[in-house]
Amino acid sequence: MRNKKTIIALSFISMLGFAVINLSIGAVKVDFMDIIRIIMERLGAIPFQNDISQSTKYIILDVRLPRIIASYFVGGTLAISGVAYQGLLKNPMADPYILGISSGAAFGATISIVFFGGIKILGIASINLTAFIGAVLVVFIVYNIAKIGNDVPITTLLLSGIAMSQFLAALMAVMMLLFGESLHIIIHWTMGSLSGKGWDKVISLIPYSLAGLAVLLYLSRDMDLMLLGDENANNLGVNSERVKKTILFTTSIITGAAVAISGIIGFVGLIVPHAVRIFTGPRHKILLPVSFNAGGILLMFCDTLARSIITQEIPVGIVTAILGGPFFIFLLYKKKREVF
Amino acid sequence: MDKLIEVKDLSFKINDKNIVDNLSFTINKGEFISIIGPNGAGKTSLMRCLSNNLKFDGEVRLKGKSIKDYGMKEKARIIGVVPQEYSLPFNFKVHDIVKMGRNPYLKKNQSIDKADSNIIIKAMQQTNTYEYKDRFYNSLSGGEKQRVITARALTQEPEILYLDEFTSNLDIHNQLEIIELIYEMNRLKGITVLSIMHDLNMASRFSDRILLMIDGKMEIFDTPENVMKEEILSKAYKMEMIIRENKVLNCSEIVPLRVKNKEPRKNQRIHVVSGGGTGEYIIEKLYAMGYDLSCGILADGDSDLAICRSLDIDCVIESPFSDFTADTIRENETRIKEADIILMTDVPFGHNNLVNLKSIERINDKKIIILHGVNRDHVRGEADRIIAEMKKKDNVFEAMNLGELFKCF
Amino acid sequence: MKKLMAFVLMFVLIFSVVGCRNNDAQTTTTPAENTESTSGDNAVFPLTVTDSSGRTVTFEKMPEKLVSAVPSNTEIIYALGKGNQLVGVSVYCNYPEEALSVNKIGDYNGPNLELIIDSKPDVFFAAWLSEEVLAQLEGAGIPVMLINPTNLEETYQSIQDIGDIIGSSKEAEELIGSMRGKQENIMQITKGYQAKTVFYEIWHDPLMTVGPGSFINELITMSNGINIAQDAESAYPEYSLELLISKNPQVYMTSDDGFKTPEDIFGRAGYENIEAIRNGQVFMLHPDITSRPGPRIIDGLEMIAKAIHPEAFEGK
Repeated sequence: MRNKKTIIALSFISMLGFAVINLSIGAVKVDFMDIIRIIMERLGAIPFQNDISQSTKYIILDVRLPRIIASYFVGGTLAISGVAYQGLLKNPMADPYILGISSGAAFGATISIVFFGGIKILGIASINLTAFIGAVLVVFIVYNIAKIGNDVPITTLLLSGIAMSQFLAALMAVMMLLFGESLHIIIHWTMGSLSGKGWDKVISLIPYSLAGLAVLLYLSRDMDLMLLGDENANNLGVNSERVKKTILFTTSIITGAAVAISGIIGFVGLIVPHAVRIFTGPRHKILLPVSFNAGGILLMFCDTLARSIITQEIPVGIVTAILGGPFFIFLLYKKKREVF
Repeated sequence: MDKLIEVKDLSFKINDKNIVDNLSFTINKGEFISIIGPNGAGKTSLMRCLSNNLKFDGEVRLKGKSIKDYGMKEKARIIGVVPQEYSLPFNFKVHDIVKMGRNPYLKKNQSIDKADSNIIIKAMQQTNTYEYKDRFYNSLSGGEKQRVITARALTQEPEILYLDEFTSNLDIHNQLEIIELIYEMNRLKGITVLSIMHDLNMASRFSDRILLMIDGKMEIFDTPENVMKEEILSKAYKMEMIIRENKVLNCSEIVPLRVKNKEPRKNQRIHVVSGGGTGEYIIEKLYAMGYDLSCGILADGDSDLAICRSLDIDCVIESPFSDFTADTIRENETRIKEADIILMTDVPFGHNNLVNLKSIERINDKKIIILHGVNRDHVRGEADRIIAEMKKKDNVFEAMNLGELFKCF
Repeated sequence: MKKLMAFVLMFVLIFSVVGCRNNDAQTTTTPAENTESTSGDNAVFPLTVTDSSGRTVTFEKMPEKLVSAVPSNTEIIYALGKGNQLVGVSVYCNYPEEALSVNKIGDYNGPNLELIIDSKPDVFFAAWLSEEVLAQLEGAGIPVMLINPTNLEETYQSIQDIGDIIGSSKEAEELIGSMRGKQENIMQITKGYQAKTVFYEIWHDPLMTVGPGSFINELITMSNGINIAQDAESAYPEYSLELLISKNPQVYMTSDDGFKTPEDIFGRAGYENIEAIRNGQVFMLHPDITSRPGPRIIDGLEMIAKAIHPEAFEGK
């Protein structure tokens, strides 16, 4: 048991370390001590530092910091969604997008890009809103297509998710052909980026993200048991249909919230759960928090590369795939016996 | 006796087809019940109804309360289910799997305490799984996995164990080991057992009562002696079989014969001279080939008689340990006369049954087939002399082995 | 879908590298009509301008430090003589040559926020920005002008707008005047000839062309050419070989983007049926010149006009 707490504690400490390091990396070079001073000043610990320019302060506090936090929470959210889907669907290939969330979000975003332009609804940019609605709506539809009586068999769920994804992808392709002038905006969105995510985005994501983690942690033992199969879980006292519904609902909301903000960032939700499982084993109580952290750190790291490796911003989804792919293949090669 | 499970008018339908058709029965506390029946008879569906995993009509009462009124965990504290062993998508350690059995006793965020740990360890010791508690479940053999799953069910501290063909993937050693474990739990701990069994002999050996299902209906629910009957089981499984007493284990035992229908009748009659088990195989085979058979004279209790009886073969019987009477000899000679072919197995001859040989000694107008035998003479050479004489005749053919014997047909 | 995405991605990346060929023509918004027109003298500050996306931006004083994320805007700034005030340009800003030595701040698709803020510009010229990036730049107190002309007239307007903002209203007016003069001259001398049918190849696999709403379509029309795809559904539609052969264009134009040679085009299956191919009327045009809505767009117009009606320019 102490072992478990140590792993969780270690992963959180390394997250904080990473965050500070990442804060000091960027296209604009800022002295490490200056960063500390800027933060201290904002916290009110030290008086106004007039030898640091206002734009540097802005870069650190309003560009870099919120972006790092956003990347952490997006990565963490995708990772725990991946854990939940892999467990729920008993399928190691599952990722947060497997039921069509990404297509739903992308479709929602496309509609907004093509028809609503830069309209804001209740202070939220329409693109974030329609992406979120699209994501959640798709899971809702997929769930109801798959439902047979009161049961939701995994196979029909997966199949209807795939069918729905393909259908929406096709619709999106049609819209991209018809509204060619919006093409690069749509592509930019679907490739996923954390560029320019400010405090408003961070603040809108964190509650979803933490609430999702809490709900999933609360259900962690039920999720363990459900890996045995629905009926076996029932026989061990788990109301698996209810748990399944709760998990689907929770993960689709939090994934939708993350995707709405970041666009579609692949790989994190697929590889982080597997990589973490190698070290923690499959029990959700430890797998979930460590995956959240690892996903957060991975995306934080990838996004730091995305914004600092060349002057141009690289879509972070490309970085996650380029770094995550070989890393995961390496882990798989080394440790496959212990995981599968 | 305490009623543990009461079933009344239980039906389960898929698309208006009754998979489980209006069953009513009671299971008492401490009983070892086996459910048997051919594939598709509805055994598993019945069991899933009894654990409220299927939506059924009718009533299932568990300890006097409708099973539908039980909470998931409450139910799991009474019923432990041991499914057939399976693999998992992710690699849990054995200990983790067994620990899951405590879930019914824990609140959502509650961890296991010392008492729980002791129960887990004890269940692992009972099932001989403690030694590999830190191994990965998926790396275990089928038998080991089955024991782990059994340990998990024991960890639930159930009052009744449901077992669904839990031995199907195991070799005979593992099968027996796990059934003995369950039997022990039943006899020593008083855990009621409800088990779907494919192996009828295991069912017969360990059960207090056997429930036979055919096409969703309960054919019979009774003691093994009353269920293990040829007329009952051959109807259920649509095959020919012999039920005999297994004296070693003191239970009825089934010898499955064939599912294939026997060949059409050949309208040829064969009279078989056998005894002492020398005819079992030959009689059964000839019967399957479609010949009419008669047999005689056999002493009551002769092992050849069991097969004749189960195949309903015309037999001339004499009570054992006495000389064959003139009446039975005459009766036997009538059968010989009616036969087209006479077959003599490698039966040994003593004073009692020498008359069987003598009855065919002078038959010249029928084909006689003699299976070669050694040390068959227990009457100081008389039988050997008669056989040697017979072999000189044209109508007598000696087969050196069973292969040659069946070439004659 | 993946295939399509891959293709589109490649398309965008290649075109970005080659030189922002069509990005400037892509917009979701209609251009503002009501930009304050100032004539003669430089504009008076504070100055309020409406940009292509309809945003109004107020400049309290004349901006001194300029950042441009779009090659066409960079070219305009240089043409107006204020190139030395540029403190940041995109990686694709390759004309004039001096632009290559200015600090890079990313590209139109991925501007690097930190670098832009760090260069403390008084105005930031871009074509399109995600809402987040826009909000952050505004948060940092940097005025942002989204300039995204979709035709020649809007290009003139954007030159005037930039001129007003950077204090070169007069130079802008002169530049526009000279461009208009060239434009009218070209239209004039090509008018007398029989209009020719034209196909402009954007990409070869799949075959893509220019449709209504694209710059090149407008330039072809001005050059007394008939774009055979002018009835297409979108600005950059896919085009079938069947349709291409049946419309049988007299002139075949394409971008000299390094992905093909005239020999490739002459050798393509089925192309021998096209009149332009049979007559050797295949022209490889410099994509930077034909598609950047800046001062050189008129040179692009001339290149296209010469390709369509070479006889009109003989001796000139």
